[in-house]
Amino acid sequence: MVRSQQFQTDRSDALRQQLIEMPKAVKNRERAQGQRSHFQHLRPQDSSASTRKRLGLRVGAGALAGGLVLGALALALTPEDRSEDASRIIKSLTKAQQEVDKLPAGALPVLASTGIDPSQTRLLGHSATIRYYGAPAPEQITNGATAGKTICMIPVDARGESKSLGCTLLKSFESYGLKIETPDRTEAGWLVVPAAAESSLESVKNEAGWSRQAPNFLVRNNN
Amino acid sequence: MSGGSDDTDEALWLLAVNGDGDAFGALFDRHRDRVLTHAMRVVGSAHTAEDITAIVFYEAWRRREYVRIVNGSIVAWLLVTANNTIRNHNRQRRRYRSFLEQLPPPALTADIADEVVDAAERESEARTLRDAFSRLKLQDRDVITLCVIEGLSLRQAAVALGVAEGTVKSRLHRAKTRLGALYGQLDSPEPRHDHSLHEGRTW
Repeated sequence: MVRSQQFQTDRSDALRQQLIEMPKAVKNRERAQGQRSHFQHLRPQDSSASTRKRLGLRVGAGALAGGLVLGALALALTPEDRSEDASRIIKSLTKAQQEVDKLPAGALPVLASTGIDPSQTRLLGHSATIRYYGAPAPEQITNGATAGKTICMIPVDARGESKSLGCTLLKSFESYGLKIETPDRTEAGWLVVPAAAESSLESVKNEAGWSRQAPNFLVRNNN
Repeated sequence: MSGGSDDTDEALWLLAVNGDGDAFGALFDRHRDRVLTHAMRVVGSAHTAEDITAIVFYEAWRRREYVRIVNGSIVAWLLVTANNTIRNHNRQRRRYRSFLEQLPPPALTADIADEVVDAAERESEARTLRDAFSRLKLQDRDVITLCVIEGLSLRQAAVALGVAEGTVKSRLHRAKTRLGALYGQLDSPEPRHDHSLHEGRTW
């Protein structure tokens, strides 16, 4: 009906500049407020699977939204241990990795360039089609990320593949926990500090499908 | 930083929502003209179409938790959001007034839309079809936009719209029927009015 349209150049440039500033402003605000969670995304290997769940898309916002509620609760409940030892969050790290803890081969590429040791992954739980693995990560997992030891969660889809992972600093884990949701919010995994699991579950009581699958791991199945 | 032309929309979007402004800029570069062209098809004014395009990207950021990536692409979500924005243009414009007012004013030269519309109006069929399209209900516009204009599969459209594939199929059938009926009604010499920018329900 209409030929391809061109944007007025100066308006387009100004709009583009506005858009570029939006993510930066949020990031800066988070930093100013001491919210240090960040998200590590690796380039998808295959974007052709139209039916595949888009994993991890909401991790940043999820960690923040859930974290604000969780933070207040957790801060009051767990002042005793803020160490940078990931095993205080993932207890199974004190034991040897089991077969079930290993990432499927198809998900291993997601660890590339993160410095995460594949022998350090641990299965946290699962929702309907996604398995969630946790792992400690070295400092400075990404360029520009705030320094500090990090804990990561890796969602693996039903095909045994993973495109992304979510990470947050251990020293600020109490404030936010780490939550990964599918874009349609039908499935989610939420790793929290052990003492805050009950409170966290309570904080999402109005969202259907949440349950406590492990002492400090909540999942959502709302299909 | 980011924004390489090789990056998928999904990769760029994930970078953007985690604070990478350049990634959001790259997505804008990639889809700006497609959204603009779609808006232009419906509203018939280049300046309004530019505002709608701007609002679509503002909305992408404001509602970033709800953005859907279909087949690795964000374009379906942007186009559906464009349809919503067109329907609620006045309200959305108020919401983003402060941002829109920071943009340079439209050029003082004649609106290229006049040229475009004039050209389009030489073909009465195209004009009538545009009018008929703008009179469709929003959900009808969405399925027509995705399945007919953009050529997405029923499954892809279903993911973009968050409904079952069968629902898309039935909506598409009804939308085509309604579009055909409206086209038939409008294919007459009676004067027509632009209904595309009404707030709320369009029909």
